[in-house]
Amino acid sequence: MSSFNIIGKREPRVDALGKVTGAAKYADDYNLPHQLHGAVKYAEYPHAEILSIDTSEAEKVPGVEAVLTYKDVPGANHFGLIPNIRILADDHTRYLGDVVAVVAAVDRRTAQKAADLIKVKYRELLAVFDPEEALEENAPVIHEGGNEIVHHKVRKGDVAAGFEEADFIIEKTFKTQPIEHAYLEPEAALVYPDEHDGFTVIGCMQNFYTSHKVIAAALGLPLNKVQIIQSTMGGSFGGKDEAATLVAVRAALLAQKTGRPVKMLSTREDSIRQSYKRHAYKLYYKWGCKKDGTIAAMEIKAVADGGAYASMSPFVTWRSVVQATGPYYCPNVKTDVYAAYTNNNFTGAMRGFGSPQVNFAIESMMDELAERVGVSPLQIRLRNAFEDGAETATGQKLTHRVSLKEVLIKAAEASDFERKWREYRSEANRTKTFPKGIGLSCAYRGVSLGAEGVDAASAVVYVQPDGSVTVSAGIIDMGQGARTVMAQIVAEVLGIPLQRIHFLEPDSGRVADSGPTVASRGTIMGGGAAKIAAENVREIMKHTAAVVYSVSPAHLGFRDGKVWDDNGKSSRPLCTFEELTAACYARGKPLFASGVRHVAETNWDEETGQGNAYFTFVYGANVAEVQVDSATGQTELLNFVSVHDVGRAINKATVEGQIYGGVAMGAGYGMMEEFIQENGEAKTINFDEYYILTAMDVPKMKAVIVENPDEHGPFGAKSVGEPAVEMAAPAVTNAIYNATGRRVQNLPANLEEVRLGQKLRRNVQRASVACKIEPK
Amino acid sequence: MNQQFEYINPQSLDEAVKLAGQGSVYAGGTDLLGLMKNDIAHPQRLVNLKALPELKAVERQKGKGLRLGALVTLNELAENEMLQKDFPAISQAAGSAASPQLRNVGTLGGNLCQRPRCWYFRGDFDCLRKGGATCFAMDGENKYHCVVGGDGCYIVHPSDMAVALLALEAKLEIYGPGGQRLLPISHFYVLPEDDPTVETVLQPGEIITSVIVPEQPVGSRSVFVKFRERSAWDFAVVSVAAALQVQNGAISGGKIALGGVAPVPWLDKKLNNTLAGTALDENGINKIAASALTDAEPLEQNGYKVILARNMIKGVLQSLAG
Ligand SMILES: Cc1cc2nc3c(=O)[nH]c(=O)nc-3n(C[C@H](O)[C@H](O)[C@H](O)COP(=O)(O)OP(=O)(O)OC[C@H]3O[C@@H](n4cnc5c(N)ncnc54)[C@H](O)[C@@H]3O)c2cc1C
Ligand code: SF4
Repeated sequence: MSSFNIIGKREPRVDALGKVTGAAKYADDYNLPHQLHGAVKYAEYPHAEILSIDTSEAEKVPGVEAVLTYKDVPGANHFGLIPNIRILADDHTRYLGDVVAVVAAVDRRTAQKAADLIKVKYRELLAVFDPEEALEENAPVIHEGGNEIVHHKVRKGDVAAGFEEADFIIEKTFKTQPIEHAYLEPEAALVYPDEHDGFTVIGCMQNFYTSHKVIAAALGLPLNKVQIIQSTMGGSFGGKDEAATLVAVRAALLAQKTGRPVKMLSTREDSIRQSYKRHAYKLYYKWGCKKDGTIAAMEIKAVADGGAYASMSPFVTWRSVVQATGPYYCPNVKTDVYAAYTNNNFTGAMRGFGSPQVNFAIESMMDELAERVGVSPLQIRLRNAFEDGAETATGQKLTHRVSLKEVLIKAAEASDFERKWREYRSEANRTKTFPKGIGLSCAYRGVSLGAEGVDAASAVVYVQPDGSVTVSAGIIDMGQGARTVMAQIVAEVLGIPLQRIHFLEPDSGRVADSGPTVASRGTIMGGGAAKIAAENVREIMKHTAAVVYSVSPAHLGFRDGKVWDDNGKSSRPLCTFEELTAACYARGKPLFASGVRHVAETNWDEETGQGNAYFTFVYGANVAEVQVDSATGQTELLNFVSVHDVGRAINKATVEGQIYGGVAMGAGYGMMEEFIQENGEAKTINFDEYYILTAMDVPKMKAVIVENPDEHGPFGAKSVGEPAVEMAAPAVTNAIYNATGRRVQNLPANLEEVRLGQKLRRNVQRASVACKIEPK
Repeated sequence: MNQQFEYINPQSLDEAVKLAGQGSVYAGGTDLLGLMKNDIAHPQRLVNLKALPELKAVERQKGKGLRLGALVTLNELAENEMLQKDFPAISQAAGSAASPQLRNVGTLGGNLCQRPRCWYFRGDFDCLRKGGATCFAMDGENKYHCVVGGDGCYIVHPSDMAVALLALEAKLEIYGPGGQRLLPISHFYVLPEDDPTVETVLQPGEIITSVIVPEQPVGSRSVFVKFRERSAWDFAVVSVAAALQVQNGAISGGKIALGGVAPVPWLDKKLNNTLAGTALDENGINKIAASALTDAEPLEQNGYKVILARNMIKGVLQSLAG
């Protein structure tokens, strides 16, 4: 295990220096001579028919070079998984972040001024802002074919019989809120006509393979006429998929029209207004339980607000349906998860991807069950937890090491959970002005895309003639440390120092489509591909070494910058890595190889919701300790323990970075984050109104890394990015329950929720309204 | 920010006053730039005060009390040891405003004159305060709006400094085309019923030059507490400033001011009438807290502020008693 040289080390991030010195270039740092600036004209109604668009006044403004509406899009104006996202609104507006027209002008101010002069005639339509209302029969129809985006099911056993068998039933409704990704860098792109009659796009797209296709299709060009260059990304968290594509493709259309470079940039307000959010869910949970604390049946219904466009809703809700019952045994399950269109901001991928919502419900229910049975939250989880070989709700037999009990026990030990939990639930604590509480949560998570789609990634490793190495991969680094991890993997395989490796920015012309950098698949898939590529290069080198030194290739080792003959008992150095490299080139063997990691072990039956959903799973547990101000309802986070089985930590420091960031994000979801919309109008469009935890609000955190290597991952590595965030909220709300005896069922657990037990914003469903936002 | 403006560095106060008549005074710019960017303020001219050293002093003269220049930054107020010791409410209020970066540039004068944070006001809504016909908050999202003193417009005044200074019964020195005037801070702010489009009585060209805080009687204690939803970068949901004299376990004089509850920093009459003579024991504290905001008329979503304010008053009195 400790025979690794670089794997597992706390290597500093390879991109850290550039970021702290300012040398790293983000999308908006790129500029070109004669470049134009774009601006957008927003929809003025959340739901309306567009009757006419008059751009004449805008065109007259001096300095304006182009004004485009949907009529000017030469190729496809629609895109998406279900292709109904409009690059420029055509027949209708469906949310207030729709863009009706774009302008390019000599500067931003002129462009904006012109955009404000565009006149649009609308016929206002009834709008709907509540997904359940949207699914009702007479609801306003947002897309042809109805408002149901998707309905996923899981059917296992016989729930009616299960409830029959049960000693008691727990039934609760939960609500989760939409939240903003809040990446530091808002979307931006620079697009310019290049010398080959094509266009080059520099931007911060999380899934630039998708962006590539969308942009080429919109411009009406073949893929090889559009080149995407990925700039350094200032965060994404799942957010820079369609949202960043929209910004880039609008710039591309303007660049095509004007023949000049065009910069398109979202301000924070633009970004929050346009971009998609995490889905709000309403969750109905009903469990039939036995006196011994086991669960006989679960019946679950969840409705997700998909907003104006489908985006990733079908996949997000699919993960929800797979994981809706948690990592717990239950023989009888009936789960239905729906997503519906509304006239809110559309919702899509966000770190967690359909799991934070169901985890909040599951882990709250588990604590309720513990309370009813009279055992601790730890004991109830250990009683129901999956073990090796368990069968999930979808009928999948878990063949990897199921470490749920291990992470639970480690989390409880690291936080002194059992003792504190008992102490805090006493009357003596709960009647204090500042009662304390401690809460536990755990979860399992399917790694990578699962049966959602084709799961493959590729990478290219190139050992240059001087022995320095470049790595290109289709997996991108949006701040999570992918470059460092992949460089470590390659360095390990080739036995050279990390500093010798240079990670190239992804470029659509260089690496085959690797799918999206999502679903915590960067390391397991992208890292896996990099490992294969490096091994392929090493094979070439081994064959050359075998010839040059007359040794068996099977005995060759690559360590410490040298090539070794590890023949039986003794080890002797044959030459340096550079010498072997030179020898290879001298024999006409260029050291260039690609690697493809492809996993196809998943299957799914849409009707029954049975199948092998994911090729492997990860397990984690969180403990939050809080202090509640009973006078104000304010909750202070004191301590947080986050335990994750990551398979293998390629780099402990980046794993901890993911865990700390995940806690801050997940606890923020639990306690204060909320994207507030009123009749489709975003109210929280900058960080003075949209609350995220600040450094002052983040608790003391302890990250505990558990390693049970998995055959699917490079060196056994699985994932941590999303697990780190997905179970923090219920740990916090369970802690609040421990402190106060009151259960938070609606996120976030902000002061009104904790103090008054309800949200002050209207909870009543409002009838569909026709509403007018005062146009400026 | 769609328009051109002129930026001027006057060399004297008189010049500044003359120029400011047709423009906006510019101190740290932390509020003004946001207003311009959001298309709420459209000054033709920005008159920068930062070159005027006479506005930057912190002085304390025997008998005359404390004089704080309008250009003193919030950070300077927060870190001043004399204030921390003798006027803790001032340094606490300054230290709890905004974020370190904003406190390094934001000034006392600018803080007192900042415009409200109502999200309709800051957004694209032509509301009453911007000269329009209606208030959108009245029936809209009004969780952060006022529970008392609203009439047509339901903002809360966002300044933390004003609340502390109100409890300390500070006065503002104002210099303008008509010369100098001295105004108690309790007369500085304007209720919507008098004029819903402005927050202060400042006339065009008038500049706050300094804030005068009277020396507090012996045995006085002051404190400022602020309730907010996150621990940095955030305005008060409710704030309480108290400057009280305590003798033999009972309050003998002083004031409590409230922030976040009204369109202006708020001196609740009944609350303040209950103070003098009341013992700082559990009964007395409960009595005082219960007398606060009895005339509140919460909107649909902000009734919690009344409970919150009373609980915070209790906390403040307990800390002064202890
Ligand atoms: C994100 C954020 C959070 C904040 N949080 C808080 C908070 O928690 N608590 C709080 O109290 N404040 C808060 N603020 C407000 C901040 O404290 C003020 O913006 C700052 O104090 C204003 O000072 P300034 O010098 O930058 O004013 P400027 O922006 O320069 O001026 C503000 C206004 O005052 C006028 N003005 C300035 N100086 C004078 C003067 N001497 N005489 C007459 N008029 C003058 C200007 O013309 C302008 O209209 C926050 C601001 C932001 C952006
Ligand atoms: S509260 Fe005042 S500022 Fe806010 S919308 Fe109403 S009138 Fe405008």
